Amino acid sequence: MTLEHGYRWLMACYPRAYRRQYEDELIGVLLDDASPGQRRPAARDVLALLGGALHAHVRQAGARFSGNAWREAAQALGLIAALMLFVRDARVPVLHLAMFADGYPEGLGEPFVLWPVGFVALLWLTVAVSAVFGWGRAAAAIAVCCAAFEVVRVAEDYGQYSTVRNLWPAVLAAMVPLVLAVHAPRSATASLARWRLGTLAAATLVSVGAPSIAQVTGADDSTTPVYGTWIFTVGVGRIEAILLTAGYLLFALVILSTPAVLRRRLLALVVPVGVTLLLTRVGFSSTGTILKRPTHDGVLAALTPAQWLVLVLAPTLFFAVAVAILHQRERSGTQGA
Amino acid sequence: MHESTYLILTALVEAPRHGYAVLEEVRQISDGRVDLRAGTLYAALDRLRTEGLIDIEREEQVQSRLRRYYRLTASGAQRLAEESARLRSNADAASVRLRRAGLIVDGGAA
Repeated sequence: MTLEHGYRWLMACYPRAYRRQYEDELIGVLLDDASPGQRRPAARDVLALLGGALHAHVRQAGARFSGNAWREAAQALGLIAALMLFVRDARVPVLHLAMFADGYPEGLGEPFVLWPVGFVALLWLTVAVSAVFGWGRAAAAIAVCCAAFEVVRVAEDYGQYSTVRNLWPAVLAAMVPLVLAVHAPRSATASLARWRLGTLAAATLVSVGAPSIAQVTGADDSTTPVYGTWIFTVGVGRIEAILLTAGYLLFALVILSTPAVLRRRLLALVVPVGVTLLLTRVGFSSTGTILKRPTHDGVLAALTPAQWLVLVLAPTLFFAVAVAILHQRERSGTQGA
Repeated sequence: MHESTYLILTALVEAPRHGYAVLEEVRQISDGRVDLRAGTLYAALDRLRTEGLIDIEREEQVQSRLRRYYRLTASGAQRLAEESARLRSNADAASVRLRRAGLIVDGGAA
């Protein structure tokens, strides 16, 4: 292998667009700068080229994510995610209040459902309302507090029961302040349009009210609870499961009905959450199909370092793949047009 | 501004230069203290072009190798002047304090 081949091999680490722009020129400089008789790339040059390649990839990704389409998708996701997290946290407090109204003097009998969970639910609602009005930074600031609560909650669950079953809301919650802090040319309200906002409101009401409706109407009194790994229907009555599913389908409808440019980005942004959900609900359970976790006296064993690594790397990797596919498709679409 | 960026801009003040000439000029300006590698130089050149501080003056083929000559733009010159003023001000402040504390005498350590 000649010195030039060695440098060309290293240049393969750079993004294609960068190579088109600089490869021949950069290799010329590397050869000019080489010592007489040098046959292999110097260690310092190898490090500089690898560092430069990483730098170029980061800059390219930064340039892609700084586009208006990504910014609008970030704002829209912030709103949708805040509402979904509101739904998740508000369901039980609302059921508690509904039982009060229905003649149960102690409600669910567990005051913690109002504090802190109910309070955090209200904060998530505040985040969503702020996002609707285009106050992204204020929404992001409040979302930081809510996300911290969700992360602490999942950490407590892991400390007590070694479970990461509810990690996906923490991942989604951690994304909310990040995406809302992004400055977009149009607010989430403008990007989503009125009828989708109406659908979001309906989805939120149906999902939040599902347990309360089932309880107050007694619709689930004669149905058997639904069990399984399906994410929203673990141990709830059939009517409640149907209402919850309807609510989440409406959320999905909002995302899937957006214009293609926005939809692709919204779907790419939720990939880390989806992968986390699948890993924690299917992959890491006691009957896990991917990375099985043994149980000791019915209690799950702690995650191994390899499982932690998968849990951290897989969502990131799949997100990167989703973004690469998205940009590849859009680039080929533009070239084909 | 990073030192290597500062030196690259300085290397382009007097005349447009190609990549290898910039490497040589930076070594000369810094008395060999800063030995930029080509990978680092082109990462910086790409960024400086994006920021509009430098631009491509011309291209030529020398011994079948592509050479691009880079030149300092007006905003690049302004940034360099501002950075030079900032560094000079900091250096003056440091010298005054060192002298006042008796730690240096006429520019050298006491």
